[in-house]
Amino acid sequence: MSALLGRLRYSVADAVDEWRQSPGPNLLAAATLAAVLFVAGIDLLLVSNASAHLSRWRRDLRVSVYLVDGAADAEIEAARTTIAGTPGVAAVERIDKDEALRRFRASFGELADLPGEMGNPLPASLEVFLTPGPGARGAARAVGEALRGSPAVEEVRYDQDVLDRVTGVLDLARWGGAALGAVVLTAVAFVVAGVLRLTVHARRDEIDIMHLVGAPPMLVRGPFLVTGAAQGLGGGLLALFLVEAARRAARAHASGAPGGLFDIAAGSPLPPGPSSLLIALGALLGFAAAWFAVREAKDVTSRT
Amino acid sequence: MRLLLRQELPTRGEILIGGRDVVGLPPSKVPELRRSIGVVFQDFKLIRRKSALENVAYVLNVAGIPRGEQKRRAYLALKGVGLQHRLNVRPEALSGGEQQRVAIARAVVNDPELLLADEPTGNLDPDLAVEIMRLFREINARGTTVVVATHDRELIRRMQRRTIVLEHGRIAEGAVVA
Repeated sequence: MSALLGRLRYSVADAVDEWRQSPGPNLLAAATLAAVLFVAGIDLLLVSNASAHLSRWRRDLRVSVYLVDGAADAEIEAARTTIAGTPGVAAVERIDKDEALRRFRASFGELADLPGEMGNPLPASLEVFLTPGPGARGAARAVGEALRGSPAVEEVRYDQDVLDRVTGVLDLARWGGAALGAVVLTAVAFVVAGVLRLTVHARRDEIDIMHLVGAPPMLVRGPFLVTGAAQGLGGGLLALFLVEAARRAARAHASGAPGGLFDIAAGSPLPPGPSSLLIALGALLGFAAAWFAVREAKDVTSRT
Repeated sequence: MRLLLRQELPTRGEILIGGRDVVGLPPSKVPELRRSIGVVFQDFKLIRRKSALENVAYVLNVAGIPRGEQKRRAYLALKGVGLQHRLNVRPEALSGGEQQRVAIARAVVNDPELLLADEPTGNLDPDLAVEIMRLFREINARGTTVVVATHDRELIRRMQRRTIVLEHGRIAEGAVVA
């Protein structure tokens, strides 16, 4: 055990020495890894933010009951009573046409003048708030059923279908991104392996000497593997920093994006889980690249 | 020399070192064989990034010797070849003779049963060559078998040891000189 620790310590010390003496190739490899991990980090940022919003929307599932223009107050009140009596409904709020217009203008600032030119085309509605939880979808359906045939109601709409579609797109993005990411990461592993191979080649004589004095393969390869993992770790940390810098820069430029689109896509920093994943991915990628590279570091006997 | 170190395999025949069959050795056992043999090369083969002390200690590190012990034994080996004042100097700052003495210290630090020296004086002037051969004689006197490959017939004559002459890969002459 102490011999193993000793060899690990030697590998780390040798890797540090190698970084100090040849910073160029090491920084190049770390920068290549950082560039790819940056793209992966942006993907993770978008998916994690969108997923968080989607979860919130699911929790806050509400039903919009659009009213017929000119519907009688009594009919509207009857519909409201029906809704309030449906199980799973937490509250009902009446939104008149003026309030609907005010909300539209608050959400779509640059389109604020549009309804004014056309008159106010927005319908009055009843906003139905459901009790959060897994029963919300059933409650939304029940509200729709209960209002069927009501003369005051033009349309009952709830966002579940939209949410399901967005979830589908997100899943596709997640899995498609993961598949694409795997292909790109594999390609980059080979590129970084190429860079590391240069390092291995530069130390060819040294490696031969190590073999000649009887160094076991893992002692010869250990420093290269540690170097690769360190490059990946450094690349991952750099990528994380760049992702956050890019997010902040984008926020400064996109503060006026319609409908809070920026907040949905990248309003929050990358959470700790995906951040750790990015760094671990970097270390793993660097290690894998080094593994491919040091296959070159075979014993002289194997090459004759 | 390459055959003895299992850098190459013979087309036929057997090679025994201390009764151990080198040819039939599985690749995983080759490092172990090499750890039991000290080697000195004409071009010294020192690791350029490492100091004299680190070059010598590396062999002990390979053998799994604790770090403190590595330094102590490496120091003693370098002292044995008269380089105790050049411990932290890298090979490029050492003369040819000094580099060869570091290589010898590295070869003997692990107390090998066998020491192979491949043209160890080929890059040295005659006085230094004699000095190196004197070191080999001392190492041999401590119980290590020393095999030196050289083209220098004058050096062979002066050493007065058993000589095996190889011509075109075959033993042409093998004699024990008193």
